[in-house]
Amino acid sequence: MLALLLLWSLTSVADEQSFRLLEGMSQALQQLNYRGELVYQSGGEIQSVRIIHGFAPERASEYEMMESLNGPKRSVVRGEGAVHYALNGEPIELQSGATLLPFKFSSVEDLQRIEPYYQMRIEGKERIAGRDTIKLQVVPRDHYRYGFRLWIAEGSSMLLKSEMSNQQGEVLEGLMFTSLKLLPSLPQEFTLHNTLSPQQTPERGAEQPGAKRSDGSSQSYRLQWQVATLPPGFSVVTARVEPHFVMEGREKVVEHHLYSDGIASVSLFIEGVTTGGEPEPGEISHLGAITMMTQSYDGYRATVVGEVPPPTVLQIARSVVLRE
Amino acid sequence: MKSRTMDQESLSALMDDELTLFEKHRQLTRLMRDHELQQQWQRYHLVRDELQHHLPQQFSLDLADSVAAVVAEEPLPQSEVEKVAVTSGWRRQLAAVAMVASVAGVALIALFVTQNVERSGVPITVASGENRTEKAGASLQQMRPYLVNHTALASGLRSQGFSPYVTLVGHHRQ
Repeated sequence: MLALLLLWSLTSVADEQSFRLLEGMSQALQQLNYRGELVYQSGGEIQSVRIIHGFAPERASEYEMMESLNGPKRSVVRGEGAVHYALNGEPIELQSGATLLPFKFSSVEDLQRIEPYYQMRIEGKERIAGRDTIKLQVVPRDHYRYGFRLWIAEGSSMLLKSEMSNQQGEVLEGLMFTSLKLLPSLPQEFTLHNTLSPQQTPERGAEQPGAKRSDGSSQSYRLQWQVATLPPGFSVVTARVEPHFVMEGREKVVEHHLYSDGIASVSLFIEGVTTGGEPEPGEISHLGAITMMTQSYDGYRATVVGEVPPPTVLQIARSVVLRE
Repeated sequence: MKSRTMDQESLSALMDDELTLFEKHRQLTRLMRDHELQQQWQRYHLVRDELQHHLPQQFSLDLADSVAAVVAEEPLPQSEVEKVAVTSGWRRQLAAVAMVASVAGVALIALFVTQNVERSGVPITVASGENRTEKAGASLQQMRPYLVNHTALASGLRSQGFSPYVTLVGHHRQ
């Protein structure tokens, strides 16, 4: 009943159909089994990607395999909290226990949270990859986030096409399925050798009581930094100290914060620096819709990266202060 | 009709990875815009999937197994073979790192491929309305450790509609 009342209160700003579309899309992306190929466009490049996705309801586990079909071979396999990424056959391990965070758009409150910052519009219907879709536009209300167009299949609620655009309406990144086959059960690739145990996927919290050092002893790490003034709508999702962040072949202690406004996400990494290596502080880089900036603080370097516009990255990078 | 036949031939060549880089880019661009070509592309894949079983029968999700399999199966580029010779036992080291990674779960291996990102200065409007231009930024190689780890955590949000891992798989620049 409470949910219905909340939903009714939203009808003037984001109608029930928009919410149901996003809710259905979220569930479909997480829980459908499918194989497909999609075309991904970003920063003037177009790539073809194969994807296999599965969901094991008895374990509430999601599995995904993606690989590029042209250019250097890149692949990502994830499942049960583990992620494996390889470039040209060269593996890169992610931080331990890349635990999936709570799913968004699963409640009316999720939509309430984004409503001050995004506006929803249903733009009509269109046919994508041989299926009828509803076209939903998500429009940002300020310049701290990008907008989206989502083509969501009628019936399955599967997302078949999406575009991310800036305030000028320029498409920064887009993807579209060129083939899709929904499967009745978990794809065979994910039914064998799923040996990762829950013990290998630790929860991420605001603070880590301790971490094993390379010599086997334990050392406590506490968060040292915070962002004094976050961009409107953004709040911290998780913050932790990663004691074994490997970069350029060396392990480093890096503090990592993840911020989100409910749709967009941006990370802050802070590490100690002893020499004036690359990248230079105060620089901004772009990769499609991804923006990255570095800023130095008296022996420390803050790196901000996310699918957000430059003002968001700039504000976070320049608001980093020591915790009191 | 002739043009459509040529399209189909190009599409077939694209599927078989027989096009030059320029032709591949041109064909993919057309594919993005042409609904009929997209349907053709879909039909080709359905036929191919029926005729071939090109996907691996087993795809282990065990981290150490996955790394070991990749190391075993992937031939290194010639330039990397030379590096392996210099840093003797690179593959063994990599396998060792993978084993450590499966336990400690924390290893990022430096990338060999230098890739560039957009470096042009961009006008930035901050909250106060100040306009400024930032200078050139980092290379993709420098961005990658941050980007990969950001993606790992942000993947749980999924609210942007699709797995952000497509960003990692979909980008390559020489």
